[in-house]
Amino acid sequence: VILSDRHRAFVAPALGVALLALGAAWTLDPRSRAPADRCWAEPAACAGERHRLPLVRVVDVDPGGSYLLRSGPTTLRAIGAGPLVVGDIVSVDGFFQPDGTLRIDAAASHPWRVHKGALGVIGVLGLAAILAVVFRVRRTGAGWRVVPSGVGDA
Amino acid sequence: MPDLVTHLASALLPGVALRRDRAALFALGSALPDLVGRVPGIALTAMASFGVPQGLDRPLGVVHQPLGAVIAAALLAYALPERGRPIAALAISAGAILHVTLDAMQDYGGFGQALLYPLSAARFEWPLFGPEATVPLAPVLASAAAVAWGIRIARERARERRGLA
Repeated sequence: VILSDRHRAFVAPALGVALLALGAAWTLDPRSRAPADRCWAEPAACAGERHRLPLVRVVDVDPGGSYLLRSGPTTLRAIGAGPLVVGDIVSVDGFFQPDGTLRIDAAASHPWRVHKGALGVIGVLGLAAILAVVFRVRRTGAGWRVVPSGVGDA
Repeated sequence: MPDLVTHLASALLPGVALRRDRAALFALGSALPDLVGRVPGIALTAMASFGVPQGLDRPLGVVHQPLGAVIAAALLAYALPERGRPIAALAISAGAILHVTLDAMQDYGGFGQALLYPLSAARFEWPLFGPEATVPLAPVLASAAAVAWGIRIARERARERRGLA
């Protein structure tokens, strides 16, 4: 009854507003972020703290033994736990120093990460194919609806 | 999170016992948390070098939590005719719950899934496998799902032919 067309004008906007409110709460709630997220924005503020930074890319290696790590558009200078090479995707455990540099204690490599990304693309294409085979968009008495293939084909 | 192919296979394998449209919706639900909650963020990150602002996708992250996913499933179900809508919402929701449950079984280094959000921000994690452990398994699971559906479709066609004869 709650998802009927009769109550659609009220229920659908209410669900939309609920989802927006939930999304806003999620965005504003600091507990929704990984503890290390703030360290990317301001590494020096995390001085003296130990953090785990998952899935970061090594974008530069200094001959002196320091690394430039990237997560999204943000970069971070790190030292220790080598040898890492440019292009590596690693999760690192480390300790932030007063100057904002991360001293890496341990780094775990993720050599399958690229394959996982490729499987994501394959998954999206596969799902699109399944939905295209199983469903059709048809005009019904209540307007345009997604209906199982075969319904209304005759 | 396990890879998307593994998520789809985890829904398509048991889904072989369901009606075809419901199995497809179950599969849609099993991908929904990543499609809405993760893919936009990945796309934004990829476009960061073009000056695209980051973090715009953060509100969508709530669809990667059970309550947000269930509300999104109900909204998606409005695209279907009224008669099958509750079952459609249920199938998509069940797929999404399966997704976040599988994700909670992955090792996130202590920062698991906020399964009870917004009632609680507690993170749940039962680290049974690593972040990429499902990648080598994905082709096997996808093949198993394809074989199971192939057998089912072949049986349905054989039954139709017998009915016509």
